[in-house]
Amino acid sequence: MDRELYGPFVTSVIDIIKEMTDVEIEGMDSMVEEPGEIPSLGISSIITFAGGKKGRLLMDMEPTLALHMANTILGEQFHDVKDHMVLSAVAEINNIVSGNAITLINNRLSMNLRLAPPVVFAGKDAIISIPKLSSQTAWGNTVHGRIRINVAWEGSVG
Amino acid sequence: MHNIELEKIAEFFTESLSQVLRMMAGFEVTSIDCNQSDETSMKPSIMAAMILHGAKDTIVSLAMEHSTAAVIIAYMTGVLPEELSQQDLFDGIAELVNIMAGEVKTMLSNTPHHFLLTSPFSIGGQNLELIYKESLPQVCRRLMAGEMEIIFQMAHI
Repeated sequence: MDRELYGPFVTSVIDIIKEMTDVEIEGMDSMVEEPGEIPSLGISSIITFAGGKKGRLLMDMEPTLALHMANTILGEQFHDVKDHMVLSAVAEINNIVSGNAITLINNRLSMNLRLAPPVVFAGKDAIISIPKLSSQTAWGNTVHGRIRINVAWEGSVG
Repeated sequence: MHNIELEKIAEFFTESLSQVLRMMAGFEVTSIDCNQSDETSMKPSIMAAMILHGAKDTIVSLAMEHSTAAVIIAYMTGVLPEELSQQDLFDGIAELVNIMAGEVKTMLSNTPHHFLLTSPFSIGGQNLELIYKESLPQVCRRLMAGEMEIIFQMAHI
């Protein structure tokens, strides 16, 4: 159950980012428990889901990677990570990654999960905290910067 | 965008928050529309938000300075402000959003505006700001209790 709830997000982020931007994510082989506060790498997107269980996916990356992905997807040259189009591109990637993972989970576990639209934010030294939720993080490296996903589910998983 | 229903629901939220702050911390809170007030000098450094699943998905958020969060959470928990850790503040204001959203959820449970709660989350940083697409219906209120100020925002997403 544990693997079935966390694993699809890892697979999905690797596959979708490769498919949409041709960026290879390496090193995302395992997930580790994330204690408390999460210092952002620079640009983060949170998407929550509800239904049979509540949870959320945080996708966090370095600004260089966000810019590269936005430039590739949109075919333009953005230089400011806070540009609305860059933020929208990151939010959309998170939406597709989460949609793909949630579809897999719903098909396997009939959890009737539903996604909310993503929220995206950018900032130096921002700290993200999701109280009362234990979460698992997977780190990845790309040639354009680091990325991590953090998945949390309410209640016991297992 | 002006949206009467969103305005009404936002009133439920700000009233609920005012009541919580009155009961738990003894603060009298006044609320004004952000667009009708002078620009604030307050620079939010801590924010808590929650996505609400309903007929229209919505985000609600509270933003304030660390010092305001510390005073509110101190009153709520009985712990001195200087003894509160950053994690306590993050947890505390997320809980504030949770309480407020839970109360409004009950109020709207048998109406077309009923919604599901999701997990609240907190963000810390300098001069935090939530930005939505301009076309989205949204509401912003400044809540003031003495010298403390809280920015409440709500938007369909």
